[in-house]
Amino acid sequence: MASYNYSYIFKYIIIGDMGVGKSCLLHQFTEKKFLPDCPHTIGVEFGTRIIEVNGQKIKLQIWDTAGQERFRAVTRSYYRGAAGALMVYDVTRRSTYNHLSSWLTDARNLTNPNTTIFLIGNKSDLESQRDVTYEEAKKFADDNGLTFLEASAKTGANVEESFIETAKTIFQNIQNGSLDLNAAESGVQQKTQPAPAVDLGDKPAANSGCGC
Amino acid sequence: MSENENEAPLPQQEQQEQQEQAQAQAQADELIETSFEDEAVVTRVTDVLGEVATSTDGHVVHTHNHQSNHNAQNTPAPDEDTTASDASAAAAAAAAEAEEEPPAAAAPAQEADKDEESTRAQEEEPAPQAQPAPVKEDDVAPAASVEEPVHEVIKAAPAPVVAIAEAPAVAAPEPAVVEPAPLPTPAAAPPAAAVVVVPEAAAPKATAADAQLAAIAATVGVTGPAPLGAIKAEAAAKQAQEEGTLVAPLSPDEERAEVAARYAAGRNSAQTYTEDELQFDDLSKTDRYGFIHNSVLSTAARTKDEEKSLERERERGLKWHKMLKNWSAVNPRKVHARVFKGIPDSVKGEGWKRILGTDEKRKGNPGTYEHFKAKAMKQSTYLRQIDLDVNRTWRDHQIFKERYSIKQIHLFNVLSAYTMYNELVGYCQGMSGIVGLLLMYMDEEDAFWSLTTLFQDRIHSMNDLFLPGFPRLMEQFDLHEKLMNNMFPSLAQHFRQETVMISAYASKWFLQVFLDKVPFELTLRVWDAFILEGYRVPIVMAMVFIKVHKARLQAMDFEGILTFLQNLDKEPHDADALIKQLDRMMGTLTEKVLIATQAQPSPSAE
Repeated sequence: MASYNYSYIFKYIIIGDMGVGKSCLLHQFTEKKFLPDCPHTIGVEFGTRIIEVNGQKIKLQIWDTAGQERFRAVTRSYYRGAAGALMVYDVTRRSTYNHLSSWLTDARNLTNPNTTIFLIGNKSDLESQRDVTYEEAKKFADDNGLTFLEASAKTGANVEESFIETAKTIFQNIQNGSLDLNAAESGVQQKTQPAPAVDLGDKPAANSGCGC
Repeated sequence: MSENENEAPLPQQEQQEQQEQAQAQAQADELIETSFEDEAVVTRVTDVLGEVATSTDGHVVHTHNHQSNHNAQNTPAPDEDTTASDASAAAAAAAAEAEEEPPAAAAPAQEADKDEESTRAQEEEPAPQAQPAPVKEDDVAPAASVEEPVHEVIKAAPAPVVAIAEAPAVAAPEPAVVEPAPLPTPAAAPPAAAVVVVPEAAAPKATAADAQLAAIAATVGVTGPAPLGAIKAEAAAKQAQEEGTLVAPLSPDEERAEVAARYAAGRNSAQTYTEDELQFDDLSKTDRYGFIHNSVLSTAARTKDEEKSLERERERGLKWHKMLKNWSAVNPRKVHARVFKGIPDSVKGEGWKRILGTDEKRKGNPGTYEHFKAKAMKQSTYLRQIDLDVNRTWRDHQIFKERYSIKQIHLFNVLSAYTMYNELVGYCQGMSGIVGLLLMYMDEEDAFWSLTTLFQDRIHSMNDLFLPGFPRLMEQFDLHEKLMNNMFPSLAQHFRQETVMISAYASKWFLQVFLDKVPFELTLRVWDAFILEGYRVPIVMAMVFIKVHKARLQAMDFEGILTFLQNLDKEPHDADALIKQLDRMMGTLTEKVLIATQAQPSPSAE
């Protein structure tokens, strides 16, 4: 674990109602593929990808969460320590948009004050079925200080951008000092220096020889 | 059901519990000395046993039999504590929500519905009500006992919390939230913003009346002829598109009706076949379980080993046929041994049903399933959520591949009916996979009754697993952690250091009993064991996986561990060996030991 091919780790969480396409967005971002029958997420799932922002390699560690209300009991603990939160709704289903304020409350209450929250209106390819206009969502985003893009996990439109814009904002916050890397649960780890974070010295001897 | 009514059945229940405890005692005494090869031995059993056993029992049964609340001192059943206040709040919300709904807003009007329902149930369903003492044998074979729907029990609690909290509130006012700026309401948006909602298939430009019609047609349509509502809705949608008129978003009632109509219409709901659907099933890509793979499966002739194992399965199939004919006389040990060898695919459905007592329940409750199914189409607040998940459950399997295929409809029906049968749980994500699995091996109604057993009986008690707040899942996480500390302390320490949270890898393992992310062949073997032995299986199976991969996990970092545990299906595996390990470890980790471990204070890190 001496050297890393990236300088930072940013932790993300993806939240939003059932069926808005959270897992598809993640899959599109990490695999560059659209999974039409993407199974629904039970609890949380984990994905990762390395990106480049301002010449710095950054590893994104992304938690994808179950959308059903009930699963917040499990997913809540993943908000803490997220540097970025992608909040997703489905532009073809107004109910998913109506629930945003509740998701935002969770995001604000459970993350740290510097967490970058990014709003994504997914399924922008389904223009004929649109149920929420760009303008009204933009207004909601502006009113709440969120960055906003409409995206499509299917075509890939704006998917990269959403993840990368979020990383840029986080990076800016690091540079201008508003995000304190040493703060607990900032959601960011710096990896440029040799990392002493993991100390394996105190491994108990009792089990080290076991080969099962 | 009030506390008083529970007095009568108590002795019976106690007796049963005592028996079980005595049994467990004997079993544990016998096995307690066994130790894990090279691992720290689980100890300190007896001192805490009594107390915890009570609470665990209480917890296991409390949701389907309120009587157990007497025992459940350590587990104060949060759902019930909060229900009263939630119910009134919900009623207020419902009133607010009901504003412009011409047809009685069925979903929010829970209180009224309940009364109405209980009378209706008495009229229409002699079976559940006729039973004087509604105590149910919780054990595997409920000897033709009449099923008491959870639904009835739940009436003791004022209102199902979930049903309202998770209602697909299209136009529902947001709960008073201080922080975020208000959402622009649909009304405030420019008129051009309102566009036709077309959820995948036919978009009904449904007036409330149309929707109502569709709902009726939907329920009739399940058995009856042309789903009139669906056709009408479709026509309305077409008209709307032609006229370019704008439609307000569907109300919850309309949405429910629309969803129900689509499934009632079945294959007609899908306007066109997708490219995937148009392709003939390529049998060279389909495995023996019905899963369709991306590439052609090996066409090489079977190896000798494969031939042998198939031959063995055929022989076992014959033995099982004999055994099923004479089920009640079979020695339980023999059943255990045969189940752990794997129930042959040809008799798997029969085997599962026999163990779960499905036939008895079905025969004892004629018309019940149809009743709850019909009721769900009119009242369930979960139809849209279920619809979303049916659309992405087991889609790589032959029978679920096609949208609105007969099995997709059954999946939708069973899950919907269950939301009315067990309002406390309703529908929770994760259940669709389970019902889907059952439907691979049995018909609609059998799957429903099997599900009720899995959720309600004591040894499976999946009910508590899926309740809001996931009480049993949380317990299982806790237990898993303690077992890790006891059995694999250095790995547990490593996981802590790498900040690997148990819920990150074990949620699916426990909620769905390894339904996904392990090879399907192994899933089936674990499910055979689970159906026979119950909730201990996933707990112990988790330890088997950890044990087998311990050395590798110890060398991995945070990311490696999670990626690895999330993708166990990509690991080569030997199902026979793993299930043997499971069997062995279950012998060692008897229920008693599990409980005792659970009660131990977490050992200090080092």
